[in-house]
Amino acid sequence: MIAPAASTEARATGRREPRPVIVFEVAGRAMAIPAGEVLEIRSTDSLAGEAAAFEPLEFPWIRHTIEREGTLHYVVNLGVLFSLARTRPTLVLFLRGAQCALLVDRIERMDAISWVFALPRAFRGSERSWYLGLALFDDEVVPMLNARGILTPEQQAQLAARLPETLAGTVPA
Amino acid sequence: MSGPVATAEKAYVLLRLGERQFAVPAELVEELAAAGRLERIPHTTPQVEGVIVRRKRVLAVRDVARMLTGRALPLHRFYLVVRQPYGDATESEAIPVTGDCELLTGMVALPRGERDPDYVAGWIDLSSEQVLVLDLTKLIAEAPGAPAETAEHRA
Repeated sequence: MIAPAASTEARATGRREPRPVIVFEVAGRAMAIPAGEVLEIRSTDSLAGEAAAFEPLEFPWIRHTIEREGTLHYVVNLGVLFSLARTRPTLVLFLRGAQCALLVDRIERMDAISWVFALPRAFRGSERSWYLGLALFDDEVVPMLNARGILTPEQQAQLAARLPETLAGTVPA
Repeated sequence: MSGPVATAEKAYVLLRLGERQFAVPAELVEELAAAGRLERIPHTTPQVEGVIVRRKRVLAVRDVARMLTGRALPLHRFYLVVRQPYGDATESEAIPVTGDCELLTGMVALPRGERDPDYVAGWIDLSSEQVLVLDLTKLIAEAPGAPAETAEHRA
């Protein structure tokens, strides 16, 4: 796990083993996620036959579900969730231990990082759940996504309640 | 009934937001930094524009101009880096300013009026005008969308 620093001003104490991260792009914005949180990366084209339409009105960033290893994943369009410009995502990142898959435009690179800056306290909205913190790559600030914070437990419960019966059986209890 | 009582002598930093001047207690100010690259990250917090990297720190950039003057700063030349209290902790934040910051020492602020907004800590009487002294904590608490948590920090 990549540990956030205690504050925006302090690095985590002690040297930590660098951990791999995947840096990807959504609507021209670089974002990252710990590589260990990603179960599988697939092209959107290759999943065309596997996705089931599911369009809950309260969650405009979700339009499909896909089953992976017996678990239903809500497919989250990060560009819509983050109110970024519309793009055509080409890849799906299935997350490990989380009930969502992320639509992204492209993978930029693999990298390694030992720590991230804590999100400044000035940020008080949903971003506190979305991000583990902020990573710094050559003076570029890149948000580090929190795989388990993209959909909160409350949102997952709301989504599960709206699932049609044909899909509900694949949601973990 | 006693009248308003002026506070003790203090130092203030005078900052400019567009056409208006404001003051903040100098003890809260860390530095005036040249405007660097603003990094915008997706978020939902009003008043926060993004972050800057300054001295190997990531600082939130808080645009208070829209709230104080009714319009955002189209261009700014500097960031005023201030220490912002969050409960028992403090964190540095950057406020975009137009420039022309001044340090005023030995100033006695007049107390805030009863009808002043909460974020007014007092007034400094300069020869040309009265300048509003900002209470940054209360200003943030009054920002649109500020959660109740912020108000608790004020207590």
